[in-house]
Amino acid sequence: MELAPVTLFKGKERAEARPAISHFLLSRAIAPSTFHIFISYSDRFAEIRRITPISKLVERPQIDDTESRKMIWQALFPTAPMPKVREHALEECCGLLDKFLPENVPIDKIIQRVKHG
Amino acid sequence: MPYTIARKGERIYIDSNVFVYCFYSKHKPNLYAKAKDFLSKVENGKFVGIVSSATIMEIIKSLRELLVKYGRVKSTQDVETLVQQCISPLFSIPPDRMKFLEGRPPDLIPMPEAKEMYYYNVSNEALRTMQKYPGKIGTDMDTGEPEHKGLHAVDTFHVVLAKKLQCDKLATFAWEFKETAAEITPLILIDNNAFW
Repeated sequence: MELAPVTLFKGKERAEARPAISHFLLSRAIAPSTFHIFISYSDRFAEIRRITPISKLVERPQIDDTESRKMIWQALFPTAPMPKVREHALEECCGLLDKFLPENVPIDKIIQRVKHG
Repeated sequence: MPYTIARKGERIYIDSNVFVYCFYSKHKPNLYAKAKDFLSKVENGKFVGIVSSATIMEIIKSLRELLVKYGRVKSTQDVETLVQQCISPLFSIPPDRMKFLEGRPPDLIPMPEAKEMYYYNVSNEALRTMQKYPGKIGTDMDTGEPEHKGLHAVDTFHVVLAKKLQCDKLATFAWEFKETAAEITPLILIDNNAFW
């Protein structure tokens, strides 16, 4: 595992460093590298740990959903064949309800009711 | 506000509201765009999306409510056909990019008699999680009356499932998941401090 240098800022540097850090983090989000990032200089940024360490991504056991995928599909649609895996399938369901629902249906309220009663 | 950054390769549990917003663009187009963008990144392999049967149940109920209350449909058969049309393409997304899981992680086998009990192990931890995060008293925006703002039962299951499945984050539009950030980091797709 490669480690990026720990970046430390002290005193006056903190305030000056903030915009730079924001850009740094944004660039990481857009073009993530293999580096394990750890930045520490202020409580304000303590929760920067929300970046997942690369070690966790590498060492974690993989999930095999072969069986559960079949089980769930059969529970949902027992008579329908399992859909074939293909690229760009998502596009088929994006906005699918647009032609069946009128304009501006408050789906957030429906979601809220379904989730929370 | 802390930043939340989802990196390539992360395993992300997906809340039902992400899917429901993706199915309908004419209410809040910005949320539709966010949901579509996020799910596209899953489909393209940037993240591994985790979908539990609890999530699918919420999707189905949301679709049924929407279509019956507002939809131009005439029968329950029509509703169910549309539900299938919405859900079916998700199962065509390659399994290494989106995974469908029933609640019990394979390494947690309970006593033989309860082996088949759904969420057997998860429910105990969900109960503990529910007690650990008491929420707070807020105000109902419609009535102005006080209301409890905090974890709901199904959301608690989502939190525990995401944690047990070793997900890195939980993708959602619900700010309520902020409270349980110590259990599973919420990736709130409308949060300006979230980058994905």
